[in-house]
Amino acid sequence: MDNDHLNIEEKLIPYLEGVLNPKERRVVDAAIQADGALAREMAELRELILVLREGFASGVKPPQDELSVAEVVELSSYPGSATVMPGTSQQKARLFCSDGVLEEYRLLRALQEDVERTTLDRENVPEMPAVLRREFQSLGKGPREVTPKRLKARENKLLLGWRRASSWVSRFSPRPLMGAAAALLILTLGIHFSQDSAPPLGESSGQVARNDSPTRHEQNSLAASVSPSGAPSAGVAATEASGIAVFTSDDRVLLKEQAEKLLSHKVRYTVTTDRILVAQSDVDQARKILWSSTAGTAVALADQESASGPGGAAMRVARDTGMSAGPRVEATTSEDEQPSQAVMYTAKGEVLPAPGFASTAQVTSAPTQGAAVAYYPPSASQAPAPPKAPSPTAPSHVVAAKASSASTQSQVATKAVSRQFKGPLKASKRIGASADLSRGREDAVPSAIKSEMQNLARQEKSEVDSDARREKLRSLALGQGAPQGPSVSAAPIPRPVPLNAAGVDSVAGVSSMAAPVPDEITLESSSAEAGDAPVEAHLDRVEKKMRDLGQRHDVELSAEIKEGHLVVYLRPKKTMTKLELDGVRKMLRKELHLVEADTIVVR
Amino acid sequence: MSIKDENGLVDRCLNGDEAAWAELYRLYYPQIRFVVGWKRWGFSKNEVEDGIQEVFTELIRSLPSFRQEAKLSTFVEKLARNRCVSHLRKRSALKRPQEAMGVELEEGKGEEGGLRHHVVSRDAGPENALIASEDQRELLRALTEMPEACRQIVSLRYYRQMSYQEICAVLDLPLGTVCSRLKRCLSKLKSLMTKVGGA
Repeated sequence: MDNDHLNIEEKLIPYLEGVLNPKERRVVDAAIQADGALAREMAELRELILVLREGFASGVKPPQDELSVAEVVELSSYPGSATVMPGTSQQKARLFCSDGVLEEYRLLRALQEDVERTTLDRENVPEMPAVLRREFQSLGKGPREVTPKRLKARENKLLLGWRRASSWVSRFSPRPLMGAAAALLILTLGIHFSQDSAPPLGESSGQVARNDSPTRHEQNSLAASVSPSGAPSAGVAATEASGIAVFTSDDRVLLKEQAEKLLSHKVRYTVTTDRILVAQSDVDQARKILWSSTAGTAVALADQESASGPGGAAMRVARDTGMSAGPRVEATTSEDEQPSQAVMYTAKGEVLPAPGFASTAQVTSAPTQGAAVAYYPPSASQAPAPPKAPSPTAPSHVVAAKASSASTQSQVATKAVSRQFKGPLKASKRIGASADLSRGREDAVPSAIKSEMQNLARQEKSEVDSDARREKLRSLALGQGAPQGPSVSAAPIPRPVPLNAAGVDSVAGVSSMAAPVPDEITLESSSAEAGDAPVEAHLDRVEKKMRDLGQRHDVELSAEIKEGHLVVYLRPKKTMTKLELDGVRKMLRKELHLVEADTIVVR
Repeated sequence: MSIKDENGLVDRCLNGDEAAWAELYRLYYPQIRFVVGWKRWGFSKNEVEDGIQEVFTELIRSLPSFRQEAKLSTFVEKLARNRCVSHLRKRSALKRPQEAMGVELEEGKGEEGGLRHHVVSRDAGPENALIASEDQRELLRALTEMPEACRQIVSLRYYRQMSYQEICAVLDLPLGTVCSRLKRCLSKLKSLMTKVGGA
């Protein structure tokens, strides 16, 4: 009985809002008819909901909760969606309930996007103002000028201290004090002579004996100068971290994040300045944790365009071709440091083969410094084909994060591969060619490169999972615009039924409340949506997705290609408010990966 | 700049190396200038200059406590953003007392052509200036008296117009709990409104 009551209680508000499915609606109808008190309560709640909606629509604002500045800045450090946003539920609720805080959050997110897109002007830096110079001098860390005034103040302080100490001492009779001092001295000497194995006191101890607290530099050298064996070394740590590197990065924040993952799985690790090391026996487990399918972690990064080696070269390609919205690009190394394989990893988690590069597949040994990896997001249904066998003359180190399938995990092995992309030109020239093609300067690109790009495009077709990525590569290689897909004749859709004011969203299957369906909130501007890749013209895949989405949101969907862009037709199966339709539109854009040029037509 | 170099620079600054401070200033001035001078904040030129200086002052003061686990550039950017948001709030707070008085001033010309200010309207507050009906005042009072958790779920659903899935994600609750909690909170709101109305 109680369970029934609970179940009914859960359904009442969705029932009033008209978002229950027919089966559950009948259950609630029956309950209302059987219980007069429930029927009266429902009528009152219906009225209350109307009052609420009218009140908010006419300008009533609920009391606004506040978040601290630090909390808002922290929340805004991570991109979008409430499902992945850090912070407590209390913080998130306050964020969304407060207009002011939400506006601050949106501004900070927009600022973040601008920061990522902008190259800072490092030329016009004015001289440091005098007020700031005085500020750092006042910190007291620097060498100070000893003025006569300061000197006198110091002397006075010493004198005052001495007077106070002597007045305190004079209150006590000297004899017991002298006896206690003598006993203490004897005890100390006795302890000292009994410790034959104690390390000899050297210069480092002289530093400890100083009255002022050591600076950070001194602390570091202090730590480094004392070795376990007791003999001070020349400032070099006696014990070096050992193990197998499972993660390499210059980014300390990323290193910390990865280390925390290992810690949460109770895997022992050592973190150095740029890598995480684990014992041989923990390597497999560490890789599984770090390269999990939920996170899709990159193993090594090139985080600066100016970086030398394959990472930097691949990043410049990414910048020039505009294919990467984030700073992370991975490429493999080869023995001669020429990039041979690369993928680009966008901020959205997409993985796109870099123009001029083949994609990588196999995990080999841990990456060396400057090496880079291929990263596959969890949505990748299959990893690319493994590279060819290495030639003995040109080994290269290829490292890839695993795909989500277990079979790919089992393929992890150390492998040296040869350069896959056997063209007449060096990789660096291919990078430049890619940049030229992306700028439409086809005539600047040698025909050999163009044909190589076409070959690459054909290769990538079979390797790359996302249709969107394939189309981009093809257009880049061939210098074409947006791809043309097969046209689809739209099924006739009847005119929509007029909407009512009831209901807000299309929650289907509310009865299965034990398994919540997470829904993402896009808080950023619409430019975020415009950046998504377009839905591929592969009709069967799109139609399959539309069938599922249509069932979920109680709408009928069809699509066709018009002028190289997708047009999706939407017909609601039940009455929907404008807000509901907007929500469904937003959902469709996200799930079908529509770009700004694609349209959704409501019929 | 690598983390190693950054740590070295921080150490030199803390040891009082003037050249290190100058280098720090030169390195991070463009970043701070970009964040503080970002147009969408709507800060005036003077506010931007003051802001840059304040961020550097804050950086100098907090450098001794800077834990060298994160990048210094991330730390600097956070300081700059904190300062900008704080300044935005201060500006809003300064505006609020004038609005709370309910007095809106309008410029007009006096008899001799000079500017005069005269009162346009008197209301209880800026957001509620449009509230006419007693019902709506009653609603606002009831919302204010509600427990925070209840008010939040009602606001998320009817003010922010979030879907149930979105509310589940924000509150980190299953769907059934959200629906039953919403029902209980609406009942609570109803009883508060009835009480207020009857009082």
